Amino acid sequence: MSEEPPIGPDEAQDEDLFAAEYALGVLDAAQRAAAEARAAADPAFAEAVLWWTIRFSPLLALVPEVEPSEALWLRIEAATARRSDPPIPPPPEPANDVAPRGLGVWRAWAVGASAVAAAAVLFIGLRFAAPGAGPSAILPSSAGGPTLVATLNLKESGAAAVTVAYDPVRSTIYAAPDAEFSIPKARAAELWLIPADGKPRALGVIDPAKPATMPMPPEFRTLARQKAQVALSIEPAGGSTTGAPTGPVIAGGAFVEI
Amino acid sequence: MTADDDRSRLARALGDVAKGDRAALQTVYRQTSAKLLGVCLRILEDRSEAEDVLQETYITVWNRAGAFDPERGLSPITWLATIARNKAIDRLRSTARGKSARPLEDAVEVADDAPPADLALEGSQTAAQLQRCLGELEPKHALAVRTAFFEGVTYERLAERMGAPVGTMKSWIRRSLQRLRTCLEAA
Repeated sequence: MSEEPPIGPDEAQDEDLFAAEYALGVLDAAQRAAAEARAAADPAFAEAVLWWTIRFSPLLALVPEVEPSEALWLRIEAATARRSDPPIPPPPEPANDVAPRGLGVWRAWAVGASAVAAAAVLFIGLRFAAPGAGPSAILPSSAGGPTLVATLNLKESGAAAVTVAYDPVRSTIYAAPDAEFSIPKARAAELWLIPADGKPRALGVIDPAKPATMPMPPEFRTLARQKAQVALSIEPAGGSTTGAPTGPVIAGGAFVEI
Repeated sequence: MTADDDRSRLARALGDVAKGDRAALQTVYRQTSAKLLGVCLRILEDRSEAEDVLQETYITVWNRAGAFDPERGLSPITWLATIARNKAIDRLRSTARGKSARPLEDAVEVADDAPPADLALEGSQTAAQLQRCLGELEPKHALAVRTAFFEGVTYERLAERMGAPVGTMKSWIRRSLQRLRTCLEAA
């Protein structure tokens, strides 16, 4: 029997094991991103994570309390006053400029399905549930091959910059920036698909401040499944005009199937 | 005050936070920040990093308190601690550094010393079930599960910490999770 975990197991039991491993906290960064993407796409999986989270929760009582420094509340108070006053009211709606395509479908998911609530409840604040992106309905359930997910880590620090998911059912690329990610003013961040042949293909320009969707060009769909990498480069505003990256590549990561 | 009082008061405060009540955010913070810092510190081992994660957590709560839904079976404190824990684990994964080789006795001590009454975040029934089902595992396997939960470490790191091959560790944990599932479902 192989030691390596199947990232996208077929059997329900393996699915549940993957959910348990996520809730326990033993998965590595790429597997965690995959699990979160799956939870956003698959209500049954999100339910399984919720089930395990509740079952493990008594252990939290065993962790000793530690009083934070006095300054921490002041920092939180300042940050919440600055960033969002008043807070985003529930229920969250996908912003129009974020999801120009398929918005109706996403919204229907978001308001209609109580089954997806587990994802909404559990994964807030994580990359696949960024505010304004329709937390429970970012990736519809897949029926056309596995979803691909890549976590792009910054070359400099190794910190996660963007999580990119390719949803083959809708032929859509979804990109969710992480907190650590910033670019120089008046420049753009452009995503590239780099398949086995090593030649970068432009996917589109993303805003480091919010999640985005973009169509996956049909000619790239097969390439994406051939051990492809995804990279992020700094380009002039509007993106590279040469068809290839012109600025430094600041982050990269490999597509994995989930 | 009983745990039920705490739970419903916290749930109400979260409801107020969702409406933009800043005083309610402070109430939530005062009631929960020490527990959440304990959870983050256990994973990150660095106080300033743990406080950074805590700050992110409460900002998330401020922005998204409306996502909390008591109907989902999560207590408010578990919901908050899970957000903090996930952020802390993500932070741990994003930093290349390893964790210090802290003796594993910590995990045993924490797990064994706490009085059963403290095992009550989700109600005593859930706690009693977990305790019983963990007790049915081989002690070494139960220790691996508890350590994984408290420390938020990967299979690889867990294997190093417990001096076992990665493959062995994976099989211990996975077998344990399957047995826990069966035991907890039967309860």
